Amino acid sequence: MVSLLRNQKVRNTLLQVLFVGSLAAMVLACVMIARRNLAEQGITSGFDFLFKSTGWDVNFSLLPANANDPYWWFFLIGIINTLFLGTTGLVLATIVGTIVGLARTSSNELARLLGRTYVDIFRNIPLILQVFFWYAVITHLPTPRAAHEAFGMLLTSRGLYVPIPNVGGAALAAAMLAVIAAIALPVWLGRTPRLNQPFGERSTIQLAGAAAALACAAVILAVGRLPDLPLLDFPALQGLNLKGGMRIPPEFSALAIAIAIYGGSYIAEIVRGGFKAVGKGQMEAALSLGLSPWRVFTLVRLPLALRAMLPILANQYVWLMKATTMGIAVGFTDFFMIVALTINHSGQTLEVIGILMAGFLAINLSLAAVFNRINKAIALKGNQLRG
Amino acid sequence: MDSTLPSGPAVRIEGLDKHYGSFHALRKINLSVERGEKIVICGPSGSGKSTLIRCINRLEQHDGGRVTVLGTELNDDVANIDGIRREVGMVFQHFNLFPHMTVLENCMIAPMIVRKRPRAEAETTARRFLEKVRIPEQAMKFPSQLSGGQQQRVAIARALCMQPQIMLFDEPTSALDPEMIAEVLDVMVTLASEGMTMICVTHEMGFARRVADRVIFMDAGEIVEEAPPEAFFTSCRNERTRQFLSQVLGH
Repeated sequence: MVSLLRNQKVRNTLLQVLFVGSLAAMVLACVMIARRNLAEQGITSGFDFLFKSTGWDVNFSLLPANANDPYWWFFLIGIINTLFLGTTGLVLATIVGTIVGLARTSSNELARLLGRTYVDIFRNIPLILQVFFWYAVITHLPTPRAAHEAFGMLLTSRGLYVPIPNVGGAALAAAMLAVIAAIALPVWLGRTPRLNQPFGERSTIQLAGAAAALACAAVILAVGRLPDLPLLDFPALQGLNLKGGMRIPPEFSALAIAIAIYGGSYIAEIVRGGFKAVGKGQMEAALSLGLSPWRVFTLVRLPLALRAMLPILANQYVWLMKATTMGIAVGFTDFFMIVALTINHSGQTLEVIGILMAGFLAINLSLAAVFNRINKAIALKGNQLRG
Repeated sequence: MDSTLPSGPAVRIEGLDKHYGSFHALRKINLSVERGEKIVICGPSGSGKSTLIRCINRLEQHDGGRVTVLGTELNDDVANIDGIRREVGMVFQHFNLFPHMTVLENCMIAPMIVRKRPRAEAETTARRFLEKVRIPEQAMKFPSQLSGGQQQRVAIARALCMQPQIMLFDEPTSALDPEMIAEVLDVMVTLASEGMTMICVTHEMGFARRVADRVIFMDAGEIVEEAPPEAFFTSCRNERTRQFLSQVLGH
């Protein structure tokens, strides 16, 4: 018996069994205590409430919603709002971060100083303060009657009003995909090594690709267009309020700007680090082959920097996605705010917190999975330590 | 800028000066390299050998004197710099291959983009030169899957694919294990026997004796001694050269 306990395998197995057993006991105890407490307070647990109507409304939704809709529909709206805010914030933060990060690695002293100042300021102010600041700025914009107008968009204290096309939802989505293809195709055609044409002489193929995709978009829009209405629905003043177009509420704009500027300062540092990680030797080799500085950047420096950036960038994106929960501070109905309101109105705290956790897990795990996939696809092959 | 250019030296360096801050890296260097000539430059570390050959394709900017390569003077004219880099290949101490491209892509990228060769032609050329450096079977591998000696031979092939008129070698064997040095030197000897103009910074004295037309010894940013290999190794005049040689050949 003693000798059996001395066996390393037996010991390890025993430890594992003990660990899992105590964990299971703890979970069981928690569940039982929670059930007893819930029963004492007369709260029925379960997910039936999901199919009851909420009785309250949301202030922003990409899908139709009103107080008669059930809770599960509101959760869906919350997730879509979070994804919409998160994606907008991430894209803007990436653009800001790339510009500032490049400024910080530039050879121009003024650009470096500006970039550094930006990072020092915005990285060190808590995100929630920045959200409040931009919310205050945006809600102090002029009233609808004195709105700023630019490109058919109206900028007011009630939000940003943008024109929307009078086109069916599915057709609109398809047209957007086609426009994305029009941007992505030339880039892909310019880079793929499979085309039997020198890299410098592909502009015709690239132009043709972009034109074809844009033509597709135009056809889709023409077919999916709602009858008897102008192609674009412009917002306009009607009485004391604005009608038409789509209203982006100040809460959304404030959050998106804050996430873009705050996240941008972090991403700038990631971008800077990525570029610093590229060896000077590779760039010198490329220059010595006669490649122009622009080609050295696009073919050697950027691809290598991206590989260094991606893992950290994925981490930052997951972080910023969670930062959308600041929505509750200014009253944007993101997933977290819907959850908070639901707890108040239905009392199903445990279930709703569970849904919240599952929702964010799903969002962030998918994000991480996508990035891991990209990472794996472009990772440098072979053992870097050799040679 | 092609081989039918009027005769004249491949590289002419007159009164070259170079500072790094207050450090005087090169002092009034004069050097002329004829077409087809093989030059070996040696000297203690910090003597300015690498800086000198890096001035020839303007990886370093000189701040005094003139550098003329294949009849074109190197100055701030970007077109001149690009034109010269196209005709001057360079091999580095640490290989500097592009780690995100296969060996074949490493060799094809510059001919396709700089010389605008069609893909098929660039690939044929690349395979021919990989054959020449004796690693055709590694074409589809990535650089870090190869040994140091193989990587350096790919680097030589990559430079040759641009079909340059001059090749610069910056300590090509210094980062290699002893048994890999031979395979790289063999390739360089073959290249020399085919008439390539070569300027090599190296401490491989056996290679210098076998291949070089002239051996140049540098110290403290100056050319101290310049002689054909036989004379250089047997009857050098300068005390510093003798000291250096006794250290390099000592054991």
